[in-house]
Amino acid sequence: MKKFLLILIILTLASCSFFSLKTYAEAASESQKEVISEYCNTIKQSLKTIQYFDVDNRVKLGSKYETALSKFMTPFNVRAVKNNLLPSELTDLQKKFAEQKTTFAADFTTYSKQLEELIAVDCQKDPSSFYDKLLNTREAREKVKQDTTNLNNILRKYKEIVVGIGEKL
Amino acid sequence: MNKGGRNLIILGVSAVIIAILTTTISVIVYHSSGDIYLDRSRPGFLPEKVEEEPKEEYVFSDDGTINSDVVDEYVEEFQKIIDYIDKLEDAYSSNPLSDSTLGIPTGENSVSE
Repeated sequence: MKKFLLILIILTLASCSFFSLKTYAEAASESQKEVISEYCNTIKQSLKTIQYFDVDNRVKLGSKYETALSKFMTPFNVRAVKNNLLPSELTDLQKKFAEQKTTFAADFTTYSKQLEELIAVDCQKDPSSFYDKLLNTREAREKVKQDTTNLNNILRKYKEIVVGIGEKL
Repeated sequence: MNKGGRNLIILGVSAVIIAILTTTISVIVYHSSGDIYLDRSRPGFLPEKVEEEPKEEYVFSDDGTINSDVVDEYVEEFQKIIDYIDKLEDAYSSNPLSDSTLGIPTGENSVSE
């Protein structure tokens, strides 16, 4: 029992020190805090502009992804099946694309929430929290970026396979 | 107060309660579904006045034969979608949120481009 307690205490202390180190590593420096506090309004204005363009791009990309899926991939796959030409990769890519599109929408919602929360932080009074939230927002944005890259790669791969089918005909 | 007057008050109060309840539920769903983040009719998110005119879009029928001409036309139209998306490739790049872009002195956590 004593051994168990000792191990428990050691593990607790280790995890505490790990998290405190992590916080230290991610904390804003004094000079960063000063600038954030001083130029709070300017930074917030920049973030609002970013938010505006993000929504605009989300709408544009979302509609094109939908077009690619419903007006290109799905009808081509159906027609290819009817002509006994459908390689399994095409159905896999269509499925992957649909899944990735859903992930993109969900990740964008998460990112937008974080950006909105970031803009709501009073950076003049609390630059540390602002900077912490900024780091989280960056991570969320990175996921959205990765989603768009994945979707673009799937589209390119799909096109290559279709070109291959055309060359064989 | 007569019975009719009392019933009228009950009806009015019930209508207001139901309206508040349904509006609250709608707003919660609007937020939680993420639709709010796509709503460009929000103040400050109104689209530019000169919007792209919706063009007649290519439709690939799921019926018919597949030959090289059909595939060529399909690929050409598909490429247009890819090209459009490529133009927005950097839409979510890390640069806009980097320390340097926001005017924050570069720290350990800054995003290097």
